[in-house]
Amino acid sequence: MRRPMGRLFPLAALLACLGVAVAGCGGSSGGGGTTPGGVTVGPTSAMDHTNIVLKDRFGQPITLTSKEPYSPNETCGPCHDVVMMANGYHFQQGRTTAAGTIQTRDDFFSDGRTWLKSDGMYGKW
Amino acid sequence: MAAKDNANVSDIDKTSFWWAGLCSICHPGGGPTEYDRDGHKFFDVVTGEFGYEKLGKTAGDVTLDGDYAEVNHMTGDLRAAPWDKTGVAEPDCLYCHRSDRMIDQGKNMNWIWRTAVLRSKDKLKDSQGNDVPAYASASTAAQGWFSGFALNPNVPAGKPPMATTLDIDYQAGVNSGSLMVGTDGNLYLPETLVTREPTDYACWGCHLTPDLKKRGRVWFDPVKDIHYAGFNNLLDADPSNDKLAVESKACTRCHPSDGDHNIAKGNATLGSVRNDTDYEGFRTCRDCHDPSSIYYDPNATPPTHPVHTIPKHLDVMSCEMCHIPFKEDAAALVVDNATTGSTIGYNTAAFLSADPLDPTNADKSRWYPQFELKTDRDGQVRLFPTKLLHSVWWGDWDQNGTPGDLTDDTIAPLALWRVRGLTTGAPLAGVTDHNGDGKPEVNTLAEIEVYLLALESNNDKHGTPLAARAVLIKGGQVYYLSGAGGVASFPYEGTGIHTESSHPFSVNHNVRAAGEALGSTSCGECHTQFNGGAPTTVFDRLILTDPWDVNGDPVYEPMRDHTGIDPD
Repeated sequence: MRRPMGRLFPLAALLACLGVAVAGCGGSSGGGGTTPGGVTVGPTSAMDHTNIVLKDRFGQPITLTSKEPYSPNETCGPCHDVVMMANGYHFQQGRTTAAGTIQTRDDFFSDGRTWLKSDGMYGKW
Repeated sequence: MAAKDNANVSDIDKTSFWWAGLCSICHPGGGPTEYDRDGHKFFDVVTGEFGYEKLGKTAGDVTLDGDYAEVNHMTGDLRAAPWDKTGVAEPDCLYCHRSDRMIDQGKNMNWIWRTAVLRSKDKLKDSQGNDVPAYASASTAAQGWFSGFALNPNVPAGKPPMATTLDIDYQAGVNSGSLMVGTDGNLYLPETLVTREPTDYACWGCHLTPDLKKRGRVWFDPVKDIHYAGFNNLLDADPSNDKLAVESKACTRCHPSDGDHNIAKGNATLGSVRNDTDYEGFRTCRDCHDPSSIYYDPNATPPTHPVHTIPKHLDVMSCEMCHIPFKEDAAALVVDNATTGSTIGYNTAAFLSADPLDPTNADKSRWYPQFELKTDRDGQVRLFPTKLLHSVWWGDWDQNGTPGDLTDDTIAPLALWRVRGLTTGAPLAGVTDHNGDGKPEVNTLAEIEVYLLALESNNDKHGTPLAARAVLIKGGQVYYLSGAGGVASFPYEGTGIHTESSHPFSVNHNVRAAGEALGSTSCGECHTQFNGGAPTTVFDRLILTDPWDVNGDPVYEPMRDHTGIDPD
């Protein structure tokens, strides 16, 4: 069975792809212009990231003087469901199920191998 | 992997903190590098709380917690995992979705920067000597947004890099064009920085080293990888349409993803993570090359060789079995974790050769996969190419109170930091190099006995016996101290004991041109009756089953015996 493409795709991102303006995201679709941040941009596409402000772990916009690392959660999270995306197996490596439930435990396979905690790289021996 | 709850420090091997600093160099952040096994952030920089504090626990409650402790793998010393100094590594969106890469002399600098920072753990400083939260800063380093960066020069060659210094400086991003300054003074991502479909280079960073070691896989080589060549227009007569390696998105042709970020995959022989997604959205060979497939790609050549229509052949053989006929780049074949307690590696050139019937042949320019049965997309079980990795290791055998019944026995691996406490990283006295390859190995019964006796009579640095009943796992055998004196052994296969000394890694990439496929020149490659009655290069090729017997000699078996399939 093929999985439906776009399943669980976050509403904000979907609207952005359709060219509907979403607060805080680059919602324009073509034409170019100037972002609220004052950055002049050329013609934009459905995947418009020109208006994405880089933020740190505290949710604060990053400026040139900042020494704080940028935060993918705070930067990308307002438009993208990062929590859902990060439940993909590349990220979790056996820590969670498809539903996001934490599944790591001793003797994961119930065959006496207590040292195996999951079926992925996080929990293997 | 250490358990969440442990009663003794000797029970702890690799913890979540170790995983975040080492394993995560080939993982995209988030999940186990961000949240503990109760679902809380290891450390919340906003509230200043550790995850365990959310549960009302104190530091004293988690000294043996697999999420909040760390055992030094050289000394065996226990400490609290300093998540407050490192922060956590969030999902690294831009690592995969950045449209360009910094490639310097063939090195993927984005991966190197990220890896080196993660590996520094709580030792990372800036130029002024201030602590830098390494795990939290890995994503920033991966983008090159720094002005100062230094690597530890003492990391041995072949080991992943480790940073000592990182000066985060976003001016570097502005200078490179990966960041823009708004009139409000805030920094913005340029639209062109982000790509929906990751380029091959994004995958390459993490998959390069493990895929080379496990499978002998090479990248960006149009001769050794017909799909890379085809997808990038390198096979036609028009050089003007050729795509550069940095532009290539060949990976996502077969491995697309969707919003949930479960990248489509096949059915790996090892690593069973998320089997529920096997083949979902994945493009198999048949999907693109079979004209009857709904996914048929008119640019994909349909099968033309008569073997594709001969009865039974495609019921047994996968496409990959014939179309990945050999490999030209050495892969890891043996890991010896027993002799010194540290890994001693041997690659395919040590035990295989370009002559599949004679592993001792001096020509090491090729090696040949072996075959394992695996379920294909259509549910048919077929032979697929694999490369075995043989492991040699010490375990603790628990017969569960029923010495006459092996089915309920377990053999728990001994953590290597505990073994090294015995060996001090060197072979025990009396171990010699019987096969003359320059590397000592535990292989004779006398040598094995020395180790088994030592493991059963010594404690680790925390006073815990190393093993109640020590065993060596090697070449499909369990070696143990016999009650009658000396060392005895038995094959574990079929006993019900869940243990293993060989690990089959799928060989799925680097498909060759059709003219190089098995059987393309002669049926005698598989069938002895078409080979003058002589052994065939496919079903009589010799595969390694034990890197060294009691005399130090490698042990092989023909593919025909290994698969139990005789085409004659």
